Order: sequence, then C-alpha cells, then structure tokens
Amino acid sequence: MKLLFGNKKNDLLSLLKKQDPAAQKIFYEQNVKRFLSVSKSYVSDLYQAEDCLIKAFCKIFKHIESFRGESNLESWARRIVVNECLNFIKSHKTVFYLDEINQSFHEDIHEPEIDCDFNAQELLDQLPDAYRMVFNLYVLEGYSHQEIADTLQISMAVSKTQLFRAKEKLRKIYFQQQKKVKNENV
Amino acid sequence: MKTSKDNMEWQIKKQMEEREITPSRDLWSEIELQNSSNRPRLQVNWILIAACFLLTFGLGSVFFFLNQPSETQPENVKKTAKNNEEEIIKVPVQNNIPLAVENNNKKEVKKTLSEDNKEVISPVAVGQNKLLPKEMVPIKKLEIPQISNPRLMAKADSLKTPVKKKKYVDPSTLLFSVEHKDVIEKTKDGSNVATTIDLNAK
Repeated sequence: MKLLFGNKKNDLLSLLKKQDPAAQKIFYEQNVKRFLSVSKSYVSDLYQAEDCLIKAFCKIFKHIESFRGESNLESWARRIVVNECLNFIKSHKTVFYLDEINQSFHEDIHEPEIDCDFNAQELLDQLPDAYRMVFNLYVLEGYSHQEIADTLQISMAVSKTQLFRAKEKLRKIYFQQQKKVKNENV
Repeated sequence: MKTSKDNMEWQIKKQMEEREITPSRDLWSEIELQNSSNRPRLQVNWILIAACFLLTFGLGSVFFFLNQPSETQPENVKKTAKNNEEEIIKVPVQNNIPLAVENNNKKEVKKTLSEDNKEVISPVAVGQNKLLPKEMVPIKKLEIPQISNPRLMAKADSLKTPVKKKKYVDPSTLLFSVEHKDVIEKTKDGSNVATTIDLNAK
C-alpha cells in the first residue's frame, strides 16, 4: 500500500532487492508497456518481443542486487531489455554487416522535408536486422559508435556505415510510401 | 536550420519514446513461474534436506556400531569370570560394618553371661567365619547365569578337560593274550573256573 500511494523509488528498490513479489509486480506493471515498445523496436515479431521481455524481467529481478544506484533504475532495466533483444537477434538470425563506405559520402545528402505523419514502427520493421540494431542503438538509446562497436562486436567504421545505410533505407521507404498515398488519392 | 534527416530521426525517436504496447498475453504469470523456479529458497531447502539425511545416517550408523556385539568374546568370558571373583571378594567387605555391629551386641551378651572368662572375641573374625559361607554362596550361584554366551563358556570348559591318555600294550602280554585267547574269553564270561594252562603244549 505504501508503494502504491507513496511511490517512493528507494522503498521499491529495497523491496526489489529483498525479492519481494509484490514489489516485483508493481515494477512490472509500471514498465511493461514501455519496455515492450522498446523490445518491439528491435524484434519486429510481437510474440518474440514478448519472449525477450519475459527473459529480461527475470534477469532484472535476479540481478537487482548488482544495481548500485549510479543511474536510474528504469534506464538500467531498459538496458537489460535492449541487451536481451540483441542476444535474441544474434542467436536466432544471421546478421550481415556490409563493407565500409567513405566518410565524405555520409554527409553530402540533402533530402526534402519529411512530414510528421508517418508510422515509425512500420518503417523500422522494413529495415534489415543489422541496420535496425545500429540505428536503434544510436538514435533511440543514444549509444556512441564506440559503444555500438563494443556491443555488437564490430568496428566503429562498420557501425557508421550501417547507420548511414539505415537512414538512407528509411528515407527510401518513406518516400515510396508517400508516392503510393499520392497515387491512391489521384 | 533543421535538415530533413534530423527531422526524421527526431520524429522516429519521439514516436518510439511516447509509444506504449500492451502485451497480448499474460506475461506476469510466466515471469512469476520462472522467478519461483530460480529463487534461492529451494536451494536452501535442498541443503537442509541433505543435512538432515546425513545427520540421521550418521546417528544411525553410530547406534548400530555401538549396539553390535564385539568379536572378542572369549576375552569377555574371562573378564566376567574375573569380575565375579572380584565381586565375591568385595561384597563381604561392604557388609562388614553391620556384621560388626551385630557381633558387638553378641559380645556384650557374652560378656554379661560370663564375666569371669574375659576372653576377647574379635568381632570381625567371628563375623567372617560364621556369616560369609552361608550368605555369600547363593550370590555366586545367581551371578553365574548372567554370562552372555553359554556356548563359549562350554567351549572354554571343554578346553580344560584332560585329554585321554593313550594305552600302550606290552608286546609280551599281547602275545600271551593271542595264544591263550580261549581261556581269556572264558574268564570274561564271569565263570570262575580255574583253568590250567599248559605252557608246553602248542
């Protein structure tokens, strides 16, 4: 009751460290929808995304004592969810990373402005796994190229290439969708 | 000035951060199941069960070996025999005190009866001579059947029995008995018939 009305994060954390089932359920209910959204952005299939989330929650509750409070509990838990999704992709799918391209080629792209009216998940679902992983880690999680390289065990140059190609691919998909909509209206 | 590229990334990030997806199935029950199977309580229980098992096994083995009869039984027989002897010797010493009191009374009576005869009768000596043989002999007989293994006692007794001596026959008497077999058989029958032995006849 105290947790429900008081909403004290320290109390919740201390109870989570004691493996209290009520506290675990409260933490689950507070975060399940957002974490499922994160999981779905990496794993396009909803059922598989839910499986990843179950494993991630189990890991969170199991290793909660290793959380030292240096960062926010939610961001720590979100990182576990992301890692679980990456492990799932690595173990269940073969990911190909394309060769590097010139750095100068990255910057010289000029595209017309994009409307806000588009579905981000639909765009992300059409990306290859390698592109999507790098794009999500860079854009959504705020990782640096060095961190991405360490996490995915690739070079920084490959990480940059994947990000460039991912953005390019997203734009292509977006404009193709826009053309389809215009043709349908005409 | 925002480029289209920045705008797209920003739009995607904004949409993904605001989005919430409700699970299509009951994830909590599955998490709870996996959590309960991974909890350390079960491990503690297993350790407790193992400890209890070891404790009971250890205690059982200790009691079993304590209750088991020892293999060196002949020694026990000897010891019990010795103990009986010791008891026999010790018991009269314990009973000396009351005996002495009784004898003192007797002595006083004797003194009153015959004051002239001032013979000092030692109470301990009288008590030992008169009472010990009568009272203590039955105690001996009662204690002997308490020996645990009668078989071994029997074996021990059999060892003490003297071995039969071999009878050696003198060759001349043997020859005589063979030559005068008929006469000897007649004497065995019990008839006291006097017979004459003709030593010259063959």
